[in-house]
Amino acid sequence: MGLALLGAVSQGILWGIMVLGVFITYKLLDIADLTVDGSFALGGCVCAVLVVGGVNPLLAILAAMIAGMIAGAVTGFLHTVFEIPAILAGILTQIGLWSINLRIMGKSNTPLLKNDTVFSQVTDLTGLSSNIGSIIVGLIVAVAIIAALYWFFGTEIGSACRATGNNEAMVRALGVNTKVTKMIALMLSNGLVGLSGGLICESQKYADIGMGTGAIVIGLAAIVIGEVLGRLTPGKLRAFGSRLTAAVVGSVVYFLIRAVVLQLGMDANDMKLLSAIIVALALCIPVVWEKYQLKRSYTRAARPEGGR
Amino acid sequence: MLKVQNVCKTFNAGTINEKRALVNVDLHLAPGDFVTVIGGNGAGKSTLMNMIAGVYPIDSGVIELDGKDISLLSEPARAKYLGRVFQDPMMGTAADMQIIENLAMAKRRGKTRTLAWGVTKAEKDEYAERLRELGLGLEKRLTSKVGLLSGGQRQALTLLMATLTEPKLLLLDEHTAALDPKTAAKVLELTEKIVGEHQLTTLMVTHNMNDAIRLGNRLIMMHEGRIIYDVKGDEKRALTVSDLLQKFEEVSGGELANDRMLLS
Repeated sequence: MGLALLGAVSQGILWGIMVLGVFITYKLLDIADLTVDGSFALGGCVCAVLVVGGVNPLLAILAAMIAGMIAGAVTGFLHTVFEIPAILAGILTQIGLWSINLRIMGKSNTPLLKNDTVFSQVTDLTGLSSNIGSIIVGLIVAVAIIAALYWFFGTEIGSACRATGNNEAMVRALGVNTKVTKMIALMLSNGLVGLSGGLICESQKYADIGMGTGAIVIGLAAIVIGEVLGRLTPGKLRAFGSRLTAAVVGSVVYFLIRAVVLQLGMDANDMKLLSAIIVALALCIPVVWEKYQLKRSYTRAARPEGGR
Repeated sequence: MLKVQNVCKTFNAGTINEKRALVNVDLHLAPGDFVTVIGGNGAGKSTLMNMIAGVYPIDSGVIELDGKDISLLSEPARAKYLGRVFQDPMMGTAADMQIIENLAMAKRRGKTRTLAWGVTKAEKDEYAERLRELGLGLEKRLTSKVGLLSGGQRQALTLLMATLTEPKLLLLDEHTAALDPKTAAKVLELTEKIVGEHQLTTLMVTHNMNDAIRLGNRLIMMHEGRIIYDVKGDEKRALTVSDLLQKFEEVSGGELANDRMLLS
């Protein structure tokens, strides 16, 4: 059990980088970008093929990130230039990527059993266990990315990207081309998703054509869990840096829940159903709660002045 | 300052919903002109504003601003020269961002965005000072989310944002129509003050005939996509609401006032 939980933490952190990508589109741009399932697998496939081909594993992960950015650019292009609704543009890219990923690997699965990865390099160097090694690598990457995102979204360009998700008409009236800001956000988001795919590929030592399936739901689940946890903490965690951190923590909690449920004997294939239920519930509860509150606050009698 | 020449715009051309929103519109504004625009529903007032701002492309004609042909420029490219306040108080500000962040974005209107900080420390005092001039106490709430403000406060903030970097032309599209009468009066008072202080060339659409007469140095009336009445100076100062109603009937053969205009 302990080992399983440790494994879940390391997975949670590495997937947490994907969650940060989903956070950019879902929370800041207000788009559910379905490219993610494809670009995550793309990152994994590109990374696996390069590592097998003898490329430095760190460079392979950077290549995975760039591949993800290109996938995001395709979705952005379809959405901004041709005005295809974002959700449909994402689905088109995702479906196309399935074939592209198969082309890249030439088969549906690429194992890295004999190859060095960034994780094996770290464990060889320090003598740490593989789980601890990947937790450390994951934490370094996650902290660096949170810091970078915090900086970027505080800049002039980053502020314009955030405002685009809020009020597009205003952003245009203030002289910013929202096609450009959407493109930047989609590329940045999918770049992180590809990076995460590359990291997962190296940590699990294989890439699989189906590794991205349901990634968007995991991302949304993690964001929702992170938000709930954030609300439960005394400071309410409204600051931008804390919201990013909460997303990664949400991812870790998600994988912990998953590990526990699997340990309790649940079929691994049912996990996607559980994820879907978690997200659906998280989206339903606030709506139901609000309606309940409205109903409950109704009284037939007149209220005293200013009373509730 | 502004030259609108022979501008036409038809929506849904060739369909049953065809709407000739602007028909050969000519309008020249001198620097410092404060022009109020009135007209019934569908007269083309908002379309005129949107065409100047570049929200949609025009079908034909020329729009020049300060001697520069902007007819084919995109909306963000024109933003450099224009300050805009919309009818909907939600439209001019980003609700999830702080007051200071909104102001900082407005300050950078028309400038190329870089990777420099979105808000610098030095700006803070300037914004606090400008907010103090509004007299709404917003200077103490610089880091509050704009979504927490009332419609009137948001509209006053939008007005400040539109003029923070001095625009060549200020476009006010029924910017007090969605506010309660007291708040509307306050926002209008701020409009007068800001426009007066900076001598801004201004185009203000309003459905309130009293405001249209009282404010500005020139008044135009629109009907079915045309400017049907254009008056300035002493002649405008002498106008009354009944003059306007009569004028409208003369030109159009119909009645101008809808309920909304009569009641306000």
